[in-house]
Amino acid sequence: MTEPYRLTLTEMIRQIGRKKISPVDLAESLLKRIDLLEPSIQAWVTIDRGKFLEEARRKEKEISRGRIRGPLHGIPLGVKDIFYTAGMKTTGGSKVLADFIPSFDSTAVLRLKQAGAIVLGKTATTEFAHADPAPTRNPWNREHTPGGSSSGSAAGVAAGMCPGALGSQTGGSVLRPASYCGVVGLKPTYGRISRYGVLPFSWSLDHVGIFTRNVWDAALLLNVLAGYDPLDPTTSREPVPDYIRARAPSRGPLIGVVEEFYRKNAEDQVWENTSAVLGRLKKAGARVEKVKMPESFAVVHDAHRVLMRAEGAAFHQSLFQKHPDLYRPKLRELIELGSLIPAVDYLSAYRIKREFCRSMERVMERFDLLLSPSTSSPAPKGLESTGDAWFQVPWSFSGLPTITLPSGLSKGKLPLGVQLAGKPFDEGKLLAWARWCEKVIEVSLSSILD
Amino acid sequence: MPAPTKEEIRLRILSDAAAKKYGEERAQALDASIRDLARALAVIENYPLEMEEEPSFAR
Repeated sequence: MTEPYRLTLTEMIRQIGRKKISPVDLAESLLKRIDLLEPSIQAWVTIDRGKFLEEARRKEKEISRGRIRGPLHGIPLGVKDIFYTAGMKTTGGSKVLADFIPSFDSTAVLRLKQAGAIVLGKTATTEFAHADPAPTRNPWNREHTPGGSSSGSAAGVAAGMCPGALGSQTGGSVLRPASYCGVVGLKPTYGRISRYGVLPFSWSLDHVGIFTRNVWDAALLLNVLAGYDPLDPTTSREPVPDYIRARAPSRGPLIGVVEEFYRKNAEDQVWENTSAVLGRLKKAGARVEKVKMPESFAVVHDAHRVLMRAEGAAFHQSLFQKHPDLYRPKLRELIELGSLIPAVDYLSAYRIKREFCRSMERVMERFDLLLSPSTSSPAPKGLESTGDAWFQVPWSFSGLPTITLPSGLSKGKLPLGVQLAGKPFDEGKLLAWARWCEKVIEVSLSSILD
Repeated sequence: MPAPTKEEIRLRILSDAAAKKYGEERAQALDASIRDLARALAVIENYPLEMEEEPSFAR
């Protein structure tokens, strides 16, 4: 019999439903896996084994009494350590909040729990989801970064320590670590998942995201997480369809390739991989055209930087004044620089964001998907940096839903990925097309890693 | 003497502000990042925005 930790999230649900495995079997298998790999990967900040096993036993009893809480009943998940978890430490990867225990759950965590999921533990993040790295290592090669800021979520899913995890993205913090670690990362449309109870970095750019081993599992989690939340004024009232049932049309997709910027800035091996993926997709029936990006694309990275610095500085202002010595160098620098940005420039950056969002919606009217390499290179060597967000920033800035899929291995045997962007609030189609692409690309890296 | 560029003006203002707020030594340490910020602010200032374009949190 397959070790339970090896199953995908969907397979775990099926096997629990058929009583082939129990929530306790699953919990014990994942803990065993964590015991084996955690010393060398360091994906976790907090795991309360006692509470976790107790919750698994409770879920098992509920099953025997015929009580199923929801579609994730008995499924353990990782949660990035910036999401509030009632009664469990939420440190934000920072000494400033080293002993902070929230009294309530973030909306995202609450929705997962209401669907029956169990919080396995809190996953490592860079300091306050910025750039000062967590100690986490890439499961594919421990000398390389797993990416960040959602470092532990990506590494944990890739290493088989949990079947799915929550993360967040302001620049590239879901798409990049997912790509570096060879898993699926979904950053839905801005406003699709509530950020209430999530430590903010930049209010206008922060997204909650999902890590899984395949697209289907990401759709399952989005089903539970998506939707309006009166506690988060940026969440949308757009209807939430059943993402599992969403189907792609029988014709192949019209894919726009964002070539000029990405080709110029990607390593040769990355662009070769992207071209090979496009070749396969074309052979399977996709139509592929180059996309002309709007004029504002040229200033996206500068405007993003200004927004992120100003908003990051605004959030941290009082905490930083109280505890300047507890901040690490990269975040300290961001706060200091962000505090110097004039309001007029902040608002101009914001107006550029608005223009870019609208222009990208017009671009998306013509295409089913926009495709580009997820990162400029495979995961860089060393742990002092988590790589750069250059390739993912346009999708955070536009707020468009974007998913990264594993697309092969580099010469150094590290994962590569392609990212697909869809129309705003049309995650159903994006996920359906992503499943189609996943099938055509035929690369599932999680099964290789052991 | 040629007029300073927008980026140069930005750099001067930011460097002065950093020195006042954080001290000369810290401002020196931040110099490379201040230069990068000055460049980004000049790029934003030069971008031709339509008069009707408003900022908005919602998509």
